[in-house]
Amino acid sequence: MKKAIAWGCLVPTRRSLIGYEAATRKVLEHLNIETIDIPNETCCAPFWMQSLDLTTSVAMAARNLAKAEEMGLDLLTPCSGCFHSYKRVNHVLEKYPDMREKVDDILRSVGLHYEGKVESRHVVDFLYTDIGADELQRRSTRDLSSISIGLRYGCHMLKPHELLNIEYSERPTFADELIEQFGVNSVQYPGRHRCCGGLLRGVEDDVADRILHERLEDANRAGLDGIVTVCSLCHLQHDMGQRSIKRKFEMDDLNLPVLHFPQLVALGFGYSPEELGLDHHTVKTDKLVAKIMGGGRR
Amino acid sequence: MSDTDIRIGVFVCNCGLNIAGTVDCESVAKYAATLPDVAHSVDLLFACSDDGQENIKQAIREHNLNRVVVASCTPRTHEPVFRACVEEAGLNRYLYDQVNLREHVSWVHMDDHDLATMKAQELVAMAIERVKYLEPLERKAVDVIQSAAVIGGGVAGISAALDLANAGFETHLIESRPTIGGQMALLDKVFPQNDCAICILGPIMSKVGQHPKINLMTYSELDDVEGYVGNFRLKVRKKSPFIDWDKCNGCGDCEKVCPVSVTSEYEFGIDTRRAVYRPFPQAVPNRYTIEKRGTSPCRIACPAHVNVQAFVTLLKEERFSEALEIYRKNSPFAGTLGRVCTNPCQAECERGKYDEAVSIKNLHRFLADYEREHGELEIEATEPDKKKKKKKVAIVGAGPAGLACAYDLVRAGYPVTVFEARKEAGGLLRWGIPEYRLPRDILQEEIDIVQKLGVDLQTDTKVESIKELKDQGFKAVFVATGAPASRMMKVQGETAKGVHHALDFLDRVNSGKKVTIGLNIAVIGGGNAAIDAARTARRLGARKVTIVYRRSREEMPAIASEVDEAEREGVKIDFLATPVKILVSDKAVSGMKCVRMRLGAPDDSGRRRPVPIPDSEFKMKVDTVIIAIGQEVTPDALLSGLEPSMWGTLEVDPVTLQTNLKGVFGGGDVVSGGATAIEAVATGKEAAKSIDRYLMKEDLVEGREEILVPIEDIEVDETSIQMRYAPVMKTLSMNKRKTTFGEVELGFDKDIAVTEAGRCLSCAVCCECEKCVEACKLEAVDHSLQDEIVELNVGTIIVATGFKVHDPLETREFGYGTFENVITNAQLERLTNAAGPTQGKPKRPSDHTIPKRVAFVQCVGSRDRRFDTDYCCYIGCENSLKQAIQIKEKYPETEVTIYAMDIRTHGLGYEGLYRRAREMGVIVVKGRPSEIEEDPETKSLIVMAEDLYTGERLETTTDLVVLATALLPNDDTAELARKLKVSTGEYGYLMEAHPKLRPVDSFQDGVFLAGAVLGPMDIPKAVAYGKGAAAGAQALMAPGVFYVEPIYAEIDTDLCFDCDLCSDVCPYGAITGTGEERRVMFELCQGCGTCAAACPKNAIDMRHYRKQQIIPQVIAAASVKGALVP
Repeated sequence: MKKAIAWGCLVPTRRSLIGYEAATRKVLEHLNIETIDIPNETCCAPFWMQSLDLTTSVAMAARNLAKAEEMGLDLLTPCSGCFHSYKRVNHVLEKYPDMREKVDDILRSVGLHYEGKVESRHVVDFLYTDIGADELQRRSTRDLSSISIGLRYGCHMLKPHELLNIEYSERPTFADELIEQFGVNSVQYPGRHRCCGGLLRGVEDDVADRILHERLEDANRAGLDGIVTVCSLCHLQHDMGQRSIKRKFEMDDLNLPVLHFPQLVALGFGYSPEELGLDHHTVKTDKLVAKIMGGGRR
Repeated sequence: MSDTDIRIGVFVCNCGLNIAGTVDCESVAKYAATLPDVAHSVDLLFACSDDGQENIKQAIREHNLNRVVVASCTPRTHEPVFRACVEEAGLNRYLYDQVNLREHVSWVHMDDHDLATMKAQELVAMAIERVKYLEPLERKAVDVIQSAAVIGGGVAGISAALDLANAGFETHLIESRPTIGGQMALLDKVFPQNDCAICILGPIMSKVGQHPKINLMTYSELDDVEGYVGNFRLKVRKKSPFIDWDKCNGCGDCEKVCPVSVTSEYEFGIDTRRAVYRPFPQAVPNRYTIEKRGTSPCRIACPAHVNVQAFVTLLKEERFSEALEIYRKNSPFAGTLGRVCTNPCQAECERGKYDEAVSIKNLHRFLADYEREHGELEIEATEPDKKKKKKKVAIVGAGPAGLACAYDLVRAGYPVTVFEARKEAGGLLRWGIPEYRLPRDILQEEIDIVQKLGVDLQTDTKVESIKELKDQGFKAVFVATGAPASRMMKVQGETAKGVHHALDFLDRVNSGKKVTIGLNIAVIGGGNAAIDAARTARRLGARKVTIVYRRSREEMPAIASEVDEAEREGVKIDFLATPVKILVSDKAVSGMKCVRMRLGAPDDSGRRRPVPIPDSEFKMKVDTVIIAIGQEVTPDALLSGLEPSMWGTLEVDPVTLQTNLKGVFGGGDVVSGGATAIEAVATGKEAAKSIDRYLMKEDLVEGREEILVPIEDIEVDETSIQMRYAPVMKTLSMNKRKTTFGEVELGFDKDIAVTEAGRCLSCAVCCECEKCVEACKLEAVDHSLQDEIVELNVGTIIVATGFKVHDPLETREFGYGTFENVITNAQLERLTNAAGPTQGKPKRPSDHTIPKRVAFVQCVGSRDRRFDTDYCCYIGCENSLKQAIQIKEKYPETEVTIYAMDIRTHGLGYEGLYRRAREMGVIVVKGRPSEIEEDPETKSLIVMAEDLYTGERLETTTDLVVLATALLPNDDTAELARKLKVSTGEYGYLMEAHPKLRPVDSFQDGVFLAGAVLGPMDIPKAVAYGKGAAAGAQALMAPGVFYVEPIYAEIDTDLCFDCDLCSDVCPYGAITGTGEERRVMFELCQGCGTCAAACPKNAIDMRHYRKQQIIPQVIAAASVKGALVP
């Protein structure tokens, strides 16, 4: 199977997100999925930019899709924000013919055309729907049953619920099902599905801090070995933000490593922590890693 | 008619200012006056008023008009009025046409008066052209049957039925549930007065039950509808309640003994009910119903059709003796088969689709074990039946087949003698199966049961021929002599010292003979005999035991758990290998030469065929070889006089099991050549059935088959399933297994067995244990009752099938289904109901305490565009206010908060309810919760919301959350609409003919609609609709005839070439016949014209809308100043 892949802006550039890219590449490679990066990928113009200028934003995202369409490939992305933007392009072009004309004009000016044939998929959705939990279990080589984690889906992948088409977006379970194949204990705890405050970062930092504080308290109370995030923004909040919350709210006992979803899958496939960039996170992952490596092979 | 005869009158209505405000009506009238054949043209202020109509009538008389055009409002509103008006003036009512100046002109062109006036003129000119070609038509009368059917016995249907019946019309009330009363009967209180629902509904329900003019048909569904207004023919399926309702008095004795528990739909899933049930104490009719979905898959899968669900269910209820009795209705071998059965039942168990199949085999073993310890069942000899006394039956062979046959026949009253050649009975159960799997006392006791029943068992008696049995006076014979010989492998060295054949080897060990084996043993084969031989060898002291099997583990026919146990005992298995030669030195075994195999294409048995791999030979060093590759019938097993098949087995008829000799039947291994114990039992039972029929001189085949109807769609309440695997049975310690033949599997104890039985999903609902039959003093229970189709002939139909409540589980909204203390308002209604599961105390589900804080969440699923249910549920606000007040009345200290987008309390009385709630301290927050979280310790809930008035973010902890859920159309509303040929609207409810003026009529003449099948409504409205529909139906029926509009299609059969397109497209099914006979049934035709448009030969014309009537109108539209524009 061959797929085009768009990485977005956060995943390849932030230090603690490097492991996201590494792990995604490993997981797809392990499953024999050939990927081709979108050449000269542009910004996907996510929703906060869409609220400023929808036409230009849709055209920007459509540019990357046009590149995928040229190659005759469907598109994967690990970033929930990108996923949201690409899904919106097809939706807008189908529903609003006048928008299609405007977007066509813009793309034509750079010698491109987008027909609307590319299906955009989130990597987690792809793993669940196209690969399947059974396949992950078959390929699992490392027993992860020693760890309890809190899985956070984030909101951009799930809402509005028509985007994902896996299941209804309230209290989803599909990604839990995937990591449970490796034996991971995915804990249901209060606050697990609530906002991380990430979109307020840089605008209302104080509120963003307060929300994140609540989330980290929720997670801390649940007795987790760590948090696993699907969304880059959730990760930035929980991982990078954790240090300042710890100081600001005097949470001395706070020490929750935050993994990316594909990192956990790759660990289950038997990859080493170093290959997956687990040493680049802000909150040290050593203790969690030690627990996993002590769990043994299947 | 020549042109000169046409005299048209045109009347342009001002409709006050509705039309005249935009259109210059006077100039339209003047324009019309100039057109050819118009004899009179005026404008009127209100054409529909008495004055206006009088004016029209007078003009017709004065000006001798013979055609009339009125240009006014939509014909939907006033066409009947004006048609009646011209008729009164002596004209045919169809020489009239109406122009819609109001909806088509004035209301849509208010901004351009000149244009509007011009358009009005053109429209009038068009009508004038058409009206010239109209023909006088006569309405057709159809007779109306003075009887009505009301479908749906909720409060709307009840109200309709009572009004119709009181007016003297024969009324059939059809309800799909066993009782009438609908949703209202399940409510506790009804707003706004908060009076008791069942107290006000109960009396009118019983009035329905007793009304001489009402034929009450509950537990009945509409199968099919034919016919038309005045003469509908209904096929109604009266579902079988398996209880004769003429005898049942509603005493409930059956319910007390029924062991089955299923989730109750009448308690909205918060309580269970029995398989035999009465929905609620006030049910009308006051009768019990048995819910039966078919025969459970386990029973169908069992070769002997043991009633598995029944004994498992009784076991679950700790009614052990009764459960064992159920098992023993089938065979005496509960304990024996509980140990050695291959349990095909478990492979089909519905529970297996969720976690793991119920361990059925272990459960009947438990029943037998428990009985041994506690001994409650007395076994008494059955008295021979008088008629059967002289009909002696001989059974040859006391294995499982022979004994099962004897068991059934002796209980049927026959004198039975069983002849057994060996010194003890039991067949391969005794001689083939090792003691560590089946202790001999267990087997013996179950054989003793057969003897105690009166069977004469003669061991050590070999029967040689059928003739000797006939000579002894036996009237029928069952031959079940078995297949006790091992099949030879036919390899070199098979006769050497140290080579054993499994059955012979096991027989010798089991009969206590001395058997010498070596230390290093190979067992060839993959069946149960191979495993038995290997484990037996281990117990006899073999150091190393290796099973050599030519296929892989998946194909092994042996019981999987037996294979596992063998491996645990140290037996090795070498897969994909087979011996080609047994190596011999000094006449004794010294080893084996084997070849490796690979799996090829599947063979006839569906297993992949093993193929030798070239040059893969290898040697094994062994000193003993046990060959276990199958069994065979020995020639002496076939008594002289019987014919063998080409395989050496006994030849019998596959259905009746009769041999070549009349009255002689065969079964078990001697026929099959080797099968499982349960299959042998099954053939024994089948033979018993044949022998009974033979001796009673009945046909052996006809009506023989036991009809087990599989469950069509297995539906289980998935929410009630908690994932749980079958318990692992305790086993004997490894140490003891090495030296003794003590039983390995130690059985379930009582608690484990009861818990395990609790995993049964009761997928067939009724388990047919027939305890109810015994309990019913009136002998009303009859499990053989069938559905009945009743045909009704009625003049009108009222549809009042109601709604269903939204199940938030589908969307997991607000944690419903995840958090225990989030319930729906329907569930709360049952909790506050004195007849509900908590006797009226609103206990929260997690800990059964009375909540101190309750939060209501409004509009769950309602007003929600995400799910295309963007409409108000109409009752949610009042209902929550009512429930809040109820809680406050009983527990004033309880804090009650209602989270709502808006509170809607329309009309009289409801605002008072709202006020009363607030005065009692109920807090209403404007704002929908964004999220609900559960406190894992207290199971209380944290409701997060925003108060839209203050902008404040709320986070409140509460003990119970109640979701006010949406009302949705019933699942079968679409299907019902199709049957009745009525329309459904945007959201799937049935659609009325006009939202304001014809709210209870459908588009189908004679079919009326009432209650929430039209959309959400409260009780008074549903009652009003019911009464309205009844009034409509009465008005239609009372005159005895109904005039059908003469506007219908006509077919020119000369042109027709029978393509059938017209009947395919007709939404009303009005076209019948072929060729010359093809015609339109005018009673059914609604004049829609779909067929005329579809007809490729233009063979269909519409009366009143003929081509020659429409084309002039089109020409007028396309003309400018009387001339066609090119």
